[in-house]
Amino acid sequence: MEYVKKEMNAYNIHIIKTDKFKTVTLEIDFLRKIRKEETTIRNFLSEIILQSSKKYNTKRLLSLKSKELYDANITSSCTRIGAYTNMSFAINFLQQEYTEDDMQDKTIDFFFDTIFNPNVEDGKFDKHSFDVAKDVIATEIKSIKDNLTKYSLIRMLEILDSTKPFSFNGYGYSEDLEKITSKNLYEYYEDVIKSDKVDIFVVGNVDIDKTIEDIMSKVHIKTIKKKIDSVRIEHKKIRSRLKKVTEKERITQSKLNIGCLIKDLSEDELNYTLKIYNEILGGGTESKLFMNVREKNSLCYYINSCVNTYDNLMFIYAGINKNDFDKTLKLIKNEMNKMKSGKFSEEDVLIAKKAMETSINTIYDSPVRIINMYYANELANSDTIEEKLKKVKNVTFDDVVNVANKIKIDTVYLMYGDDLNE
Amino acid sequence: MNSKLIKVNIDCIHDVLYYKKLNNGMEIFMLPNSNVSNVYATFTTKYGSAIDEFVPIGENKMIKVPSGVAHFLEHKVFEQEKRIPPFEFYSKSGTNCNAHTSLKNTTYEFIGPNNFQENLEYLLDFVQDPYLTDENVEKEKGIIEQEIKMYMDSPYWTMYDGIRNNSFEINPTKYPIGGTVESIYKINKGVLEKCYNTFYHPANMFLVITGNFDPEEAITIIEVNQQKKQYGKMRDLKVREYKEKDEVVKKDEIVIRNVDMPKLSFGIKINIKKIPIDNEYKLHMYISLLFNILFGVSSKFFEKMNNRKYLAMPLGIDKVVATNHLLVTLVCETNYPNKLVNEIKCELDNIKIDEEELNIYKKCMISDCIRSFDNIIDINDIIVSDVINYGKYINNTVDIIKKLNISEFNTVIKNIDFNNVSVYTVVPNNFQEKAG
Repeated sequence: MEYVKKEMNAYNIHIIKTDKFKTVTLEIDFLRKIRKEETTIRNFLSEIILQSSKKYNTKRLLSLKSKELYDANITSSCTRIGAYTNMSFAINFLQQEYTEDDMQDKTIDFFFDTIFNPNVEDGKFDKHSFDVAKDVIATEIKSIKDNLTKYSLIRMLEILDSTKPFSFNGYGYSEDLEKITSKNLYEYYEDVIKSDKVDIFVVGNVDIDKTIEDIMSKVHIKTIKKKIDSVRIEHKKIRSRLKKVTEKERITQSKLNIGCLIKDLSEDELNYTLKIYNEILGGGTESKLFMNVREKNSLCYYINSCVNTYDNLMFIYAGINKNDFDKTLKLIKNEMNKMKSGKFSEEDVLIAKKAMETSINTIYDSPVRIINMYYANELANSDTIEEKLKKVKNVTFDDVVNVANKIKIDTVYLMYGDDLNE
Repeated sequence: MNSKLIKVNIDCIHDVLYYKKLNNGMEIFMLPNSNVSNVYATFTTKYGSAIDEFVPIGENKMIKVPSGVAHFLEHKVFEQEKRIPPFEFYSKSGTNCNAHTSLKNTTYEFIGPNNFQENLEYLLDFVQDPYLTDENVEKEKGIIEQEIKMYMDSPYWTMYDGIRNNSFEINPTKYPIGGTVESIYKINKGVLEKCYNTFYHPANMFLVITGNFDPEEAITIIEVNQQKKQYGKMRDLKVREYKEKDEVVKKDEIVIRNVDMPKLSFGIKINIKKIPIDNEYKLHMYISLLFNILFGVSSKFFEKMNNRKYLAMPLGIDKVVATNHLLVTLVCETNYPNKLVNEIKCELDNIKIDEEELNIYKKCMISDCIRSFDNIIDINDIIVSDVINYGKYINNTVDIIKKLNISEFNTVIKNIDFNNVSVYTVVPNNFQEKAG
């Protein structure tokens, strides 16, 4: 595997040459600071680009073209990385030896043409594509309730702190959707190209120089970009007494969500010790929460804790019967307290380290994970694989206890319904 | 020991699958990939939720078991007497372990880059020697109850269960995979043991390994391990055969749920024995192709529905195989469920496929086939599903795709009764469809 980064002021190209895969993956990322009122329009933009292009001016023509290129579909997403939002477009296509001559050129050309030659007339996106994309976003916003685990988590985070980016609904908001026009959407598009940090990644068995040349001939971004600040969200104040909120919905299973804010951890504590702490507390099927809340007390089917280091946040979530709310909460607090006083074993730490090592050691199995790693390096200057493994190894039992004592529950939220059989 | 492996050539890539059938009847499928670090192994019994009446091993009479037994058993196979619990064993080497139950099979699996030899042995050992007690069976009921309730809140699971229930009359494919909160409380240790002893015989099971490992080493581990275990000869499994009628049971049902936007599942029940295509794999391919061409993202139908605002996203296309019947489902979200259903019916009344379109889709199918070999989980799933549905791994997929042709395609289309449909709709409270 060979990594080459070509730094330009307007954008960077990262080529990861490898013969591990039968496909080539190409991705372009647009990054900027997130604002709540921008989430809807950004999601809208990522959708409308996939609706049509100047050359293939309907969804049907565009998707028939991808099929002709051996099912090379373009996908898009808007994800949040701490205080920033990343709009990403990607395409995955077969290595040329499985297709025809020129397929790689044609596919790369198709990809950039779709993104940089949108279906625009007189400074406005095509009305038809606009209406269709608007429908898609409206549907996405409405469907958030279909995934109650996610929906209840967002409700908890809104209660925790609705000004913080982690509480923003990534799909956007109905009231903002109504303010978007084909004109201001195109202005936003131009602004994204002009001001966002842009990174382009290629993973696959490609000719490095030729691919860089190819990309440079197709991507015409000229504006010089400023360096970005830290993507991490910091918390100034942490509630001294926890906030407890319950809400009723028409659901069968009640959803418990607990939010914990994290403060004053060093970079390495966040990246390694905290993750080990989380793995022991609620990472998987060997965790304290799984063993005690599920296996010993049969209170739930799923219970997990999860950390987001960019957000300085940990949350715990479980699906329970509403009558078991107090009992479950007490058990969870009890497990957190036990970790604070060091009531876990060296073996627990070793097992958590193993899980992290596996995750690190298998990054190169997937093009998406390879890109994510290099992108994380680009944003946060993170460690190499060797350094990661070494730092995991160096975390001690006392380090974990120390971190455990810096974690405080901020918000407890229960979304409940009318349980059956009670 | 004779550990000669059969090499099966795969036609779309320059690769080989290693196969062996052991003396005790267990089948082994291995596809090494040295480009990755991980190894993924799945151990599957050809027993899922859709078997609910059978003659237990060593008995003479058919028994009927409560709905959800296969899934309950999946949870309980993790109980061990002397061995350390599976989750604990696997976590020590940073390996992930899991299991899942579907209509036709139950699968146990591990994935991880370390400790392959011990991991593989342990997979065979823990699945082949669980420890059930009245107490640990009782304890599981609360956990499974929560699992069922989690699915009950998902509109998509509601539709998946609803459309099967309304399409099939007696085939157990109609029941929820996990059973109901009521049925699982009827399950006890005795029932679980009968199912286990009958369906977890090695001759009813197979192992699929994909990823970075040496097949010769693997087969040696497996054979040594299996020789230590004694199994009686498996006589013919007697599972109740259902004479399912061709017609759907209920044509229409609307349920109210906590959703903002209506959703529907449109099911077409097809008797595949009435279609004169001898190869079932190929037949399934034609049927998938048909619905993809008619309703997929590149279809004229989707374009039209999109323009009319009936659909924002294309229909999801899925199929359920139940003995002689195939249920194809089209799933979507729409504010115009009634109008959309009429449009789908209309489309199915006037099917015309042109050859050029067929050729583009063939190209895509070949491409998807090649791609699947990059992902050790995807390709493992494909092998499992081939064995479950067709009794063997299909190694000449690309050859079959290349031979698909318009005249056979038209034969398939001619022999499907497109009026045999059931529609299951989930709507919010007080829903009224607008004029569109």
